[in-house]
This record gives sequence, structure tokens and C-alpha cells, in this order.
Amino acid sequence: MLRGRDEEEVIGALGELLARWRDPNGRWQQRLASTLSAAAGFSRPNVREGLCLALADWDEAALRELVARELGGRKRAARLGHPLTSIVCAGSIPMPTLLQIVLSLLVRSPTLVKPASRDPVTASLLAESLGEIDAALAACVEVVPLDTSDDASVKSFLASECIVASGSDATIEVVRSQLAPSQCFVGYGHRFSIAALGPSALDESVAEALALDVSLWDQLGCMSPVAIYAVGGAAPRQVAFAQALAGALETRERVAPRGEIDAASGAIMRHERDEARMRFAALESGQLYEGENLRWTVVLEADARPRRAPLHRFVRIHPVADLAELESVLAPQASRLSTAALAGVDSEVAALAGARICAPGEMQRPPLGAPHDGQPLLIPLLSIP
Amino acid sequence: MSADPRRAELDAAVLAWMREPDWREDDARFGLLALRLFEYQYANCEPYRRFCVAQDVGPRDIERWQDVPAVPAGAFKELRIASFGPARDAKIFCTSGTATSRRGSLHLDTLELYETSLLATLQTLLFADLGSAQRTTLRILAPAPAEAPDSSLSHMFGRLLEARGDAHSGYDVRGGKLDAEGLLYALETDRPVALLGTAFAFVHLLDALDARGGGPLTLPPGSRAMETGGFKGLSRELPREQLHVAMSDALGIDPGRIVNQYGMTELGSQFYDSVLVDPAGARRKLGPPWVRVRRIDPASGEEAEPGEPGMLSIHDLVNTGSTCAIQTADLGRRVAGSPEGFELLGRLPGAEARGCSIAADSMLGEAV
Repeated sequence: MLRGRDEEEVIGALGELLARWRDPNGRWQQRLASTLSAAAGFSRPNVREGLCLALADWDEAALRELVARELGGRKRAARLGHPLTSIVCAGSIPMPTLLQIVLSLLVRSPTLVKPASRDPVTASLLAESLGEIDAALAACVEVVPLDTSDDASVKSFLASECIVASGSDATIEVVRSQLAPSQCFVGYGHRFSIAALGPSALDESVAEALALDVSLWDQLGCMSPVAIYAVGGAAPRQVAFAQALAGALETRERVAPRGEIDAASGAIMRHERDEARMRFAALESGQLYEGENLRWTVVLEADARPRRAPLHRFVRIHPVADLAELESVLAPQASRLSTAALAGVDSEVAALAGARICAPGEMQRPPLGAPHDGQPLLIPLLSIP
Repeated sequence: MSADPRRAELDAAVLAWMREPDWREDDARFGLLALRLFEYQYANCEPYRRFCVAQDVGPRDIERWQDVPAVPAGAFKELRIASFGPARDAKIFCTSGTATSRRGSLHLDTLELYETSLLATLQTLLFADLGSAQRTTLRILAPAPAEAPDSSLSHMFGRLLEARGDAHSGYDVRGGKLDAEGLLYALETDRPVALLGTAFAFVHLLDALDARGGGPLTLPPGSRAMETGGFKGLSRELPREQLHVAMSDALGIDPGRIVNQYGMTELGSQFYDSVLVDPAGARRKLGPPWVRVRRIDPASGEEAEPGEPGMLSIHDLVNTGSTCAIQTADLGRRVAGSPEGFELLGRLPGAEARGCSIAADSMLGEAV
């Protein structure tokens, strides 16, 4: 019985689990890199690098710190999750899946996991690796490759006391609509990320750092920057920065190539490139930098107007005059902002208040205990809130 | 026709083609007109000229219509793409959009080509079994032009109704809502009916029929339906094949008489499913001979291999006042037949969310 187990013991087992996953040369990272690149279309070096960076600080100490911060002072019974938690995973990036299962076990809630169609491997590998450390704990994780057209199975899966769902806003609403008011629901929907740079940060080292943030997971995660705001700074500096970023993305392409894309994604990318080309020619402002075969794209825009983000290593640089303009551009979308990489600018921008703030190059490396979409991690999972 | 004599000459040549009773594919004629129109548009549409200059392509550099630079459809949201000044705007059609989004616009100084093309195309691809002057009952599941003056679709329906509708014809969307009760009353007839409208209006009709009870309708033999457009922002969406099955079941129209139209505000011409003109062949999109479609491989920017999906690049000679060559982000695949057509693929399954940042795509996309 998981709920009867000692919290310390569970933390110890999960700490050991993270230690094994953290090892870049260990079996689990290697197996995940191999299977995930095949399943999700990422290049293998990209997965290896992404895992290595993201898991570097995920350890037992981080687990203890999280437990102390969110559950400290609570009595034993108030530190427990629900009798059963169901997790609906989404996307192709493994970290949210790894983390959500660990969190559920941390509050000692037996867990059902529906893997994402794009990542059918992470949850199973985690359960397998946990089995080598603590078979009883691993037995509390059941990976259910649910057929969403099977209404009876879906209903049964969603009958747990606690449901955690990630995905599009539409998916979140569909899941929420199927639950009873008595059920606990934690939903993680659409988010996006940006970088904001002052004039002093428009240099090659920041360009290289942001090229890493853009290229890891092919920009498909909500912590990947889709837009970079150049706050102030002369136009020639912005051009030089755009060129540096283009060069850094080309270098990244050689180190960790972009993965496969489907024709529809390619069509959107090419269309956005062509549209920028037309706009820039007609208005005689703006610059387009392109990797071969759509491998990467940098668009130096002439204004801060939000434009489509095709992802897959397609990033726009928008000039803004000052922080006030940055605020006005971001404010309408502030509640959807996940992460902001800042350099050379003040973080005292109201629209950034709910976002995780970090340095360029650190966007894909959130601390284990960092709030998820502004929410604490463990408290929403508890049976006694 | 255009007030500019030089363009009027080109307009007249395109109109003459449209007015021929039998459609004939004519590569030489198409190529010649396309190159002459490119020369005219290059000289008279400044944003387009700059776009071409940036690509180092001018009228003297090319000999084939396929090499005419294609304007991305999205550019119509950002720029005035017209070969005449605003003072000569006779009509502006706008793309649909939300309250926060930018809308694309097509500026027209004459409606003659647009209307001649649409009536000729409808006659050949939707009403081929009716005489060219024969009127029929048209029920329009879209707002009337007076209610949606900048909608090219409403204008098209309005012009069609004027030219081909009988006394029982009319509009069944008012104030943004489908008047299902009125429409169902109008459908209690023994005359063949043509139901034409947006896909989501048909979904509302199906819902209304479902809510009403009493079973499906059986529209008189010879009836047909044409739906167009998507479902964006609506509470319920159906894959096109399912929609057609549901329409057939609920309305009693043979699936072979249900047609999807593919068009866009930026284009003067439209494409229709082939089922009414080639019932035995594969369902494919067909357009008039003054329009050509290429499929472009997104990765290379070159013509896609036969059978492979590609971005639809459309060269429409009706667009004499803007630009004839338009690059869409829609995907299509060639479908063999006589004549050859294409299948509209839309978003492929692989384009579904692959990460939580797809949110930025849809969110920022809406804000464009």
C-alpha cells in the first residue's frame, strides 16, 4: 500500500531513480534517446543534449527541497495525494511526463498514465527503471496506452480521484468536461516563451545561448522561445545579432540537427518565410535569414506585432523601443507566458510576473521544483488541499 | 473591365476565354496571357514589383508562366496588392477573421471578370445538367450580400441567385444565424433544390434536423448541395467525409451530388469537386482552364514529385487587378483523371500538436 509507505523511503527511491536517469552515459538516457528519436522524429543528438541539460539538477536534494517548500508543516495525512491519480500526457518532450509521474508518487498516489501518442516510451521506461530500484513502488505506476475512441476505457481511466492533463486548451477542456465536480483536476494547457534582450546583450554569446534554447526539442516545448524582443538598441546591432543567431543555429544544425517535419509544418514555415520576404521587399525593412531546406529560420522583423510561430527552429526578433512597449506587446498574452529569458533588461515588467525568468541558455533547464505554469507542483495533487 | 486601356485589353482576352461555351485547356494561350499579365502587374503593382526585384525576377527574365513569382496569400493581410490606386476601388473583399485578427483584402476595380468566371465555373462544374439559362431553386446557407458586403462568398451567392435562382430561392442565414425553421419549410417542395452554403451552416442544419426529430428529409431527385469553408472557432467540427455522409443521410441527397468548393478571397476563381461532371472518376478538385495549380515541395521550394503532397500555388488569370500567382499554405495532392485535378489535404495528421508550444502557433496565428 503506497499511501502507507514512509515518505522518506519514497523520496529515497525516487532520488535514486533520478540519479540513474541523470547519468548521460547511463542506460536510461541512452534507451530513451534511441526510442524517442524514432517515435517523435527528433534527432538523437538533440534528445541526448536535451535530456542531459534538463536532468542535470534533478536530484534527491531537489526533491527534498520541493517537499519541504510545499508540504513543510503539514501533518502526515495532509501530505498524501489521492487514492488514485490519472495522468494524461501530451506532446513529444519527455520531461513533463517524467516529472508528473515522480510528483504523483512523491505524494504517494498510485498512478495511471496515458502516454502521449508522440511519446509512447518515456512513461514505460520510467516504470521499468523504477522497478529495478523499488519493485513495490513501480507496481504503483500503470502505463495505459488508452484508445481515446474507446469510451468505456476513457471513462474508466478518468474515474480516478485526481486527473492531471496536459495538452492543447481544447484537450484540457474535453477532459475537464468529463469529470465530476468532486474530482480533482489539474490542467496544463497552451503556453509559450520569449526572450527579451537589452542593447548590451545583443552579442554572440547570447545568440549562441538562445540558439540552444531554440534548437533543443526543435522548439516544440512551451519553454522554447518563439520570439526575441530587442529592447532599445540601434538597428545595426540588431542586424548583427540576427546574423549571429543565424550563424549559431547553423552551428547547432551540425551538432544536433533538427528532426523530421511533416509536409504541413513545412508548408507553414515556407509560407511564413515567403510572407516575410514579400513584406520586407515591399516595406524595405526587415531581414530574413534561412537555413537550407527549412532547417532553421531567423526573421528580423520591423515591428513588434505578434505573428505566427511555425516552430521547428523558426524564431523572430522584434525590435521594441523600451520596456513600456514590451509590456504592451506581452500584456494580452501574459497569462500564457511560460518562460522568459532576460539579459540586459529589468525583469520588473508586469506582463512577466507569472513567467519563469532565467538567463538565455537556461530556458530548457527548469529547476525540478519550479512552479508549473505558475502553480505549485505538489499542493494541487493532495487529497487535502 | 478596367479603366486602364492596357489592362482592359488583357481583361478582354481573359473574358473572351471565359465566354466560350466549351472549356478547352490551352497551354499556349494560358502561358501567353500569364506572361503578359505578369508584365503588367510587375509594372503597376509596386509591392509586387519590389518582391520580384528582391528575387531578381522580371518580365524579361522568364519565358514560362511557372516562373512568375507567387505572392504568399498571407501578404494580402499586410499590403495593398493592387495594380490600381485606392480611388478606383469598386469593391473590397475581406478574408474572415476574429475581432483581434488582421483580415486580408482583395481590391477590385471591376467585378466583370470575377462574376463572369464564377458563373461560368458554376455552370460547368455544379449545374452542368441544367441549361445555361435555366433557373432553379437555390437556398443559400450564408448571409445575403447586404448583410456581409465584404464577403466574397456572399457576393458569389448573390450573383448566382440573381442569375440562376427562381422565385423560391433565398437566403437562410440572417443576423448570423441559420433560420432552420424557414429553410425546412422551403424544402417542403417537389422541385429539385440546390443547397449552397458554409460547412458550419450545414452542421447547424443537421443539428436542427436532429433536434426537430421526425427523421431525415428526402429532397427531390436532382437536388444537390455545395458546401465550403472550415469550422474554425466553432463548437463542433466534422471531417469533410463525415459531413458529406451526414448531409446525405439527413437530406436524402446522393453523396455523388454533394460538392465541396475550395476557394479563397484572394483568388477570383474557385474549384469544385468533380463528382457531378465525372461521377465515375476519383473525387478531385477541378477549376476552369484559366486557372492552373502547381504543387510546391515545402522543403525544396521546387515542384513536388507526382503523388507527393505539395503547397498549392495557384495561377489565376481572373486576378488581373492584383497578382495572378498566389502561393497558399494549403497542401494538395495530384489526382489523375480527365481532366486532372487535385485533392485538398489541409493539415496532415502529422501537423497535430507535437509539443505544448503549438499553443504559440495557434495563439499568435490568431493575433496576426
